[in-house]
Amino acid sequence: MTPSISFSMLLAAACGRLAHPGESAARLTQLALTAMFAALGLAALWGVAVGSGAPAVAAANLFKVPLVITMSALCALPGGLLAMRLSGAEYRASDLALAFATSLLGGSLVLGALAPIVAIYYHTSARFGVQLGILSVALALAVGSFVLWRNVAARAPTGWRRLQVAVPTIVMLALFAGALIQFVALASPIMVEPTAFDGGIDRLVP
Amino acid sequence: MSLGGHGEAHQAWLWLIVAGLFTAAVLAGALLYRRAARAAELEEIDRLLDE
Repeated sequence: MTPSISFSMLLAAACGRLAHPGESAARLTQLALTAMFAALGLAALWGVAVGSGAPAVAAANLFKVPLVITMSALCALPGGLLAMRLSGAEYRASDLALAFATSLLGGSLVLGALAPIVAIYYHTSARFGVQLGILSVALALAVGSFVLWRNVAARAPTGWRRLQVAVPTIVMLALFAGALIQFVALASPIMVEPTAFDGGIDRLVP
Repeated sequence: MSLGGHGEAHQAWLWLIVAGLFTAAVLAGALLYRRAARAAELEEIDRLLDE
């Protein structure tokens, strides 16, 4: 019987201790999908926290926030795979998918950990509630980017140059951020108060 | 508010399509997980039989 994937295994993966290099593609896929579903659960929790000012927004965020993350990730992954192939690297697609899924988990862990403080500030501070919500997203993106960089480098074959790690990582991050801005605008309102992100790239870049 | 000046109806359709794609992606992920879990289980049985 195959051992199931525990939360500590997911945490180890997010911390850069990925599965054994000889692990089968089926096992890597299983790990990547578990990380992805765990990330969506944590993101939904954060969505409830930032939408807690209005029950309807909080309930809608259970669907909207995981949607925004999944769709942005699906937009970013093909570009990353293409960049990896064009850089001439012998790197399994499942390895890159696992690195990406664990980076999403890393970012979502930040969102989940900050969800209670975001919720309490949202209800008790008129000045910093929304700012803290946006700051938590920025922090999650920074942590996710770092985890992606480290996990792509950790699975890189020996003899890989730094540039070959950087190209697919930067491409995926740029595509993810670009898609995220537009999906957030499409899914708005995610926060009860209007933000600069509600209008998408048109409002962010005048 | 409409995005890209396309109007509210366009945005409503776009939202519906994106929501449908997300639901399909989650279902596909769940199916893929089941297949991967079964394949991993078979690999583990093979490994145990070889030992």
